[in-house]
Amino acid sequence: MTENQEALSVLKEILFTSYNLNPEEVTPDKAFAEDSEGANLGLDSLDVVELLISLEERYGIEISDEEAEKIATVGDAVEYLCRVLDKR
Amino acid sequence: MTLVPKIISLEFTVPRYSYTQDEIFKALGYPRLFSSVYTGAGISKRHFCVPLDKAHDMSWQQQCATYIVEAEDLSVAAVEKCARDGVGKIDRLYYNSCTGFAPGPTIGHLISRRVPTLNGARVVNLSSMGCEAALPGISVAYDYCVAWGKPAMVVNCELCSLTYYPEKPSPDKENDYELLRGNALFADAAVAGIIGFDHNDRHPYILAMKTLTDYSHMNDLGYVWSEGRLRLKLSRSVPDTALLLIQKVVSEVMAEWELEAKSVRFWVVHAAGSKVLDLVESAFLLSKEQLWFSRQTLFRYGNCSSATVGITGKIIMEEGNPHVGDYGVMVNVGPGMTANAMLIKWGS
Repeated sequence: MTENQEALSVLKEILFTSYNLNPEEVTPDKAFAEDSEGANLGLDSLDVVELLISLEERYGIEISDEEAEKIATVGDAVEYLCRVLDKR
Repeated sequence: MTLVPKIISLEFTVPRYSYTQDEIFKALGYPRLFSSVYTGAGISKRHFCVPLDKAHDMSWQQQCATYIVEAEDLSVAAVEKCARDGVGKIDRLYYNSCTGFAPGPTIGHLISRRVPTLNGARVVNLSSMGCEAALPGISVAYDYCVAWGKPAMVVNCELCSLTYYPEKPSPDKENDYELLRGNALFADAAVAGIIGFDHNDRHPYILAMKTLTDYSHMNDLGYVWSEGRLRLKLSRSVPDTALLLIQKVVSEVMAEWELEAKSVRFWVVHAAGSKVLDLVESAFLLSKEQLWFSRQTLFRYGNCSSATVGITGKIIMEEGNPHVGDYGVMVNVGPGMTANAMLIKWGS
């Protein structure tokens, strides 16, 4: 499993466990927040924060405010995780 | 001939301290990632009767002592504006609030002592009704007008900053972050309105009112006692439950006058938060214009509990340029869970 696939798999697992989202719907093009334009996963702002906190706990990382603002889609999150995990 | 009561005057006041969402978030000291809950709330700033650094450290007794002073002053300011157009003597005052306690004399008595228009008025204090109190208040004033042919005043004063519940160092995940979410929304304001009779086309008639309570959601919204003070209850399911109640109660009130959503120009929906407004907009297929003033209320003042719909109504009267024949629907929700809807119409 590549790093990309692993990160996507972790996201799918968290989103299924916490928000009962169908893993098949969790695709890189989908935005997290319900107020995003285009296809999204229907999370509110608090859900998105909780998701980021789950990722911090899962990987032992700290997501900065600047980075958090840039993570709007599943693809953004996967790309961010791969980048951060590569540096370790 | 039966005279139909109208809203013949409506005014509001906000307290002197105002803060941006970013300032509030930083003062509360929540973990940084939660900032988006505050900055993304659709609110530019909120007004409080106490400075943020003071609100942190107040006991319930100090909160109530401050409430008595500030609620009187803020309400009197709203009442004086409301009564300035020479409405004459008003002998009934309904005072609504859920954010503080005056053991007696009541805030209503303190107001009527200071405002000549209300000197000697019979004071009726309504309490503990939360965000929904505005429309039941108007409803009893309406009944008084119909019964006695005389005007009545309704005051809604909410000082939400005086129900601040400290939680540090981390937000309460177990209760679904309800305090963190509440602290992102609520603010202080007082609204005064006069329900009565006149021939001014700029003042809307009250055509119909409906109330609906779903007792199965009794514990989703309100206050509980905790550690010697009030603690907000705010389930995350509130917006969805509120929508179901709002859909029913608004549909009933519109059906009574054979109206469709698109026929109602002004939607005065309690600006509880942007999610409630989004849900109502989608459910009734509203245009941005129909809900504009509710969103503006949230943007300019935040959720001022029972004072909120009155603020929206006043902004519409000032900036909405309502025409004869325009309809408006006022909607609010509160503990119970209860939703109220009131249909108004400008002109004859």
